[in-house]
Amino acid sequence: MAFAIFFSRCSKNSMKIQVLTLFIDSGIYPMLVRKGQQIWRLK
Amino acid sequence: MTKELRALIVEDSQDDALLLVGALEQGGYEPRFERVDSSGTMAAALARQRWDIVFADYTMPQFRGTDALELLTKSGLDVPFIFVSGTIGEDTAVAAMKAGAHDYIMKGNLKRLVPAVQRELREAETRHQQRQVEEKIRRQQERVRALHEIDLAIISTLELHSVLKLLLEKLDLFLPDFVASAVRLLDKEHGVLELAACRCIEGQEWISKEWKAGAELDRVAAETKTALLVEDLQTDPRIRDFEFTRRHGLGSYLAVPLIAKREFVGVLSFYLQRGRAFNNEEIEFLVTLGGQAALAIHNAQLYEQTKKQAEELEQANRVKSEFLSVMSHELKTPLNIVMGYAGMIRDKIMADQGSALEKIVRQSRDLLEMIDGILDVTAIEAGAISLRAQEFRLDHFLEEMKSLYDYALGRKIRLVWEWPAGLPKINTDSVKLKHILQNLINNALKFTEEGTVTVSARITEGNRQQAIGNRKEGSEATEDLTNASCLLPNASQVVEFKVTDTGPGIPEDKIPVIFERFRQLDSSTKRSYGGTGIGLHIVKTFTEMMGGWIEVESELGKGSTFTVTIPLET
Repeated sequence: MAFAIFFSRCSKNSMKIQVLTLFIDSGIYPMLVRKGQQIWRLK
Repeated sequence: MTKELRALIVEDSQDDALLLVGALEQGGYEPRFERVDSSGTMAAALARQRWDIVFADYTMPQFRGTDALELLTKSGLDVPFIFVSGTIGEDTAVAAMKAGAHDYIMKGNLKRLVPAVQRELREAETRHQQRQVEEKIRRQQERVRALHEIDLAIISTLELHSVLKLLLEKLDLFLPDFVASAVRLLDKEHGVLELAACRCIEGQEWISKEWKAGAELDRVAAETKTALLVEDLQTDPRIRDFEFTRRHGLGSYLAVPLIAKREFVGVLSFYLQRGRAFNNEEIEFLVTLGGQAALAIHNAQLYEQTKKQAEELEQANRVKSEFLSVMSHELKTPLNIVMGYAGMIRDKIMADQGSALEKIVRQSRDLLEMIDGILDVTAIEAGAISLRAQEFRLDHFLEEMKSLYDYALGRKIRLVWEWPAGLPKINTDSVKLKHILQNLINNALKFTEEGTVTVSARITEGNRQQAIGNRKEGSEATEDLTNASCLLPNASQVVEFKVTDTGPGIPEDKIPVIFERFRQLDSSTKRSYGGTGIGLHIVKTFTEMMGGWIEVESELGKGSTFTVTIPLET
């Protein structure tokens, strides 16, 4: 939920990309990565 | 033909005694007689020798015939006793017969003497034979009872140690006066007899170098597969240490081979004190007991084997479950990264698609390597991997290897290559050798955060046995040299590759397991280093396929060195 709010409200794309890249590289939270990408697509 | 008759005559009159002897002589006997007329002389005569018959006068001034009969009865001897008297009334005769006399004869009518003697001797002989038969039956019953009790005891447990302990303990039932007994069991792996249990003599002494004759005699029984009887251990030429046999008073020795279902399992041996020999019945009994014991031991061994196999299966199952958990984690991680970056590109999120694609390629390559490793293990297990030897130059091979790592390693690691000039050609499987070295180098790089990874090669002479010998002489390193089929017959030229890192090192107790399938020092999903735990297993298998061997030296906190030695000619 917090992640979804962050992704909806954060206006800086670079920050969102950084968060997504961090999650992908560390191999954790793949669900959040997919969620983030989904929110991005719907934008 | 005259028959010798040992006759004890209790008589106060020498004339009457001679009269009796004369009558016996006339009846065809040759009496060897002694006349006694007191309790003391009669007791002494009975104790001195065996008598065929006792004649006693009923009435004597100092020693009565009934006293003589009582004395004989008390002595426990079964000797015919006949009263010979001048006057004996009917009541007296009945009383005498009731007291245990076998007959009575009147001195004035000795015609009945010889027939009475003949009859009594015949009946005494019958009684004697009957007693022997009864004694034999009693002993047989005792043997059956002892055998049954031993049987019950040794089949009541399937634990080998308990079977042996009970077996030796219960021997008391049959051989209460044995000095010692021992069981030696065949060590199938090495083909030698090992002392498994002994009784009455402290175990360590049997095992010690002090006395090995017991083992040697047991070996004779084992080789011939028949019972071995030694009459006197203190004079037998096969015994080298008489001091031991004398100190323990050992005399007779019997070794019984233990054979169950036509399979030799060991030797059961018994020792008696000097001067006491095994009789046929005892030998027969102990041989029978050996047969029963062999079955019990065989069953206990099978049970232990099955138990061990069940434990191994359980362990294998546990390791496999652990592997599956590690695998799912290891396969999912790169796949998530691939999917993550692919999604970023698809959704046009990332401007720098080049670095995302680079990561996708790298993670896909790692994933492929992992899957290749698993397929290799499957192929090894299925026996589908064969050696494809070809001749190539070692220095060219190493140059090629070096070029594979010609990229920025990141972190603070240095990869150093060392090999002398003029390395010869080698005839082996270059693909597998490359796989071995790559695996070791990648491992070293993976586990080294900072420092140096050194890859070296040199030509030397040696074989696997020498390697083991050198290790035992002083090095603290642990070797993993398990496959005897890889022994090289003689010292020959070999190439020795060493991959040394300055990583965290391997704990000594973990070294033996690192070459096992699916084993990692840390198999938890939160561990610091990735990998499936099959790399070193493949390295070891490939090395041994090439006729070589692998050794590990490691010190915690300082690093590890993996040495792979391969013959120049596979």
